[in-house]
Amino acid sequence: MKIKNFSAFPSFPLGVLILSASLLGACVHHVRVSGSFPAPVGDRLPLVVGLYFSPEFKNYAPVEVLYQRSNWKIDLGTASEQMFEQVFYNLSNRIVVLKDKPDGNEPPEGVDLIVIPTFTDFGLLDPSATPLEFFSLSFKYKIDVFAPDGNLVADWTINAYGKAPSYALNAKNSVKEALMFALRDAAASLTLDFPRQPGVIRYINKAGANSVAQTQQEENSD
Amino acid sequence: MRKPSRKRILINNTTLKVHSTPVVTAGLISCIALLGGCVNSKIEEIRHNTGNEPIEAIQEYESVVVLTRRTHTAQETEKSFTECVSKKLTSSKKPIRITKQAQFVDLMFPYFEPRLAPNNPYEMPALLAKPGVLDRINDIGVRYVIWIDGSTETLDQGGTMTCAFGGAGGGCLGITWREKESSYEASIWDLKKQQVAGTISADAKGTSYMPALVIPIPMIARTAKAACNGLANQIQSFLTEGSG
Repeated sequence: MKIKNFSAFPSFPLGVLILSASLLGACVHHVRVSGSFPAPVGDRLPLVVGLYFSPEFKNYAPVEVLYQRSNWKIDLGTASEQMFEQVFYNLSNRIVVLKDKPDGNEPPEGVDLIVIPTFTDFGLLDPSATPLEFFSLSFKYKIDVFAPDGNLVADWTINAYGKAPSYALNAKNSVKEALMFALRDAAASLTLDFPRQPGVIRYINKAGANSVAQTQQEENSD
Repeated sequence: MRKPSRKRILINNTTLKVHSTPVVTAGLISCIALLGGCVNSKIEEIRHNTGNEPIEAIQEYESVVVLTRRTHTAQETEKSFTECVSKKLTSSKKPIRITKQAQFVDLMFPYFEPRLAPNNPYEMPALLAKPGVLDRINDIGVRYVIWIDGSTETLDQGGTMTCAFGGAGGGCLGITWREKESSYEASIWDLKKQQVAGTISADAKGTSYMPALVIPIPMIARTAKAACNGLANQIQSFLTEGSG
């Protein structure tokens, strides 16, 4: 009887449909991660590294719409900022986070090299899109390394990839885990690739005892 | 239950031992009595004795790390399986010192990350030659790295079950079944000698049943557990007994 009453109002099913659709549309999973990255095996580089994160980089939070009608917003900028700071903290003598974008006219003081990362790509796949029962996530950074005078010392691209099993009823944890694996993958690449860049090697060899890091070390020991 | 049969084959200084262990052969009745599905497992061991050098038994001060082979493309070994093997090795009669996977991978960062981890033993000398790597391994005290590769998969499933519920109660009628196979391989690398010490593989196959006469009674064939136990026992004897 109740069903008959409902059908007497033709607008009712349409209303329910619109409400359901709007609720589904509002279902955005916001993923934030915070983790630590271990210190690498081997010696630190004799450098003071300046890091500059642009506002676009810091606030980078791509939204991915997946087949399972779920939207995912990944706070990648904040997580990447932490990752870069930790990697260079472990890799070099000291880091300085620069507030303003450096240019050749006003070189920042007290740094040997300046690292500026940017995002170039991002992708998230859920298990329905692949034959594997995994969430997988990938992104790319373009890394530019400048000397304090503004000259480009090195530039290269880092691909990061992470995947995590699909946990029943807790897809958010799967995406978080995949993101942490991807950040760790990026940290591993960055740790190995930075010291191998020919421009960075040339700079270290050329600066030698005159590098900011060496000078500061000598001042501290005196 | 039959005793495990053992075979040894010597091919080019490589000893192959085969243990065939039908865990339950008494049929469905005993399975029902035990409330577990039937599992058949097979363990194979290959020892690599290069130059007829005996494999040394592990010393008390040396430790072992059990690592999951993680790849970017394929289905990877379940974390729970690696943890099961590690737990079995530490809780056996002759316990082996285990370095935790996460701790080892962190201490060796970035060389054991999925992208950079050595894929075969021939890459080991180059890895150990990198600055600080050998010193770090000596500090940790790890002698053997055991790479675990494999997974548990459902081969087939079928059957029907109907359940009905009403005011006077309810119940189910029918039977369903699922056949699973757990197939894993442990590759044992000797970091001191910088070579593969041996390879052990474990295959366990079993069928789980769920008959229902009013109440469904699950009889689970724990293939992964059987493979874990078989693999861990064999690794244990491999490392503690040595050869020669």
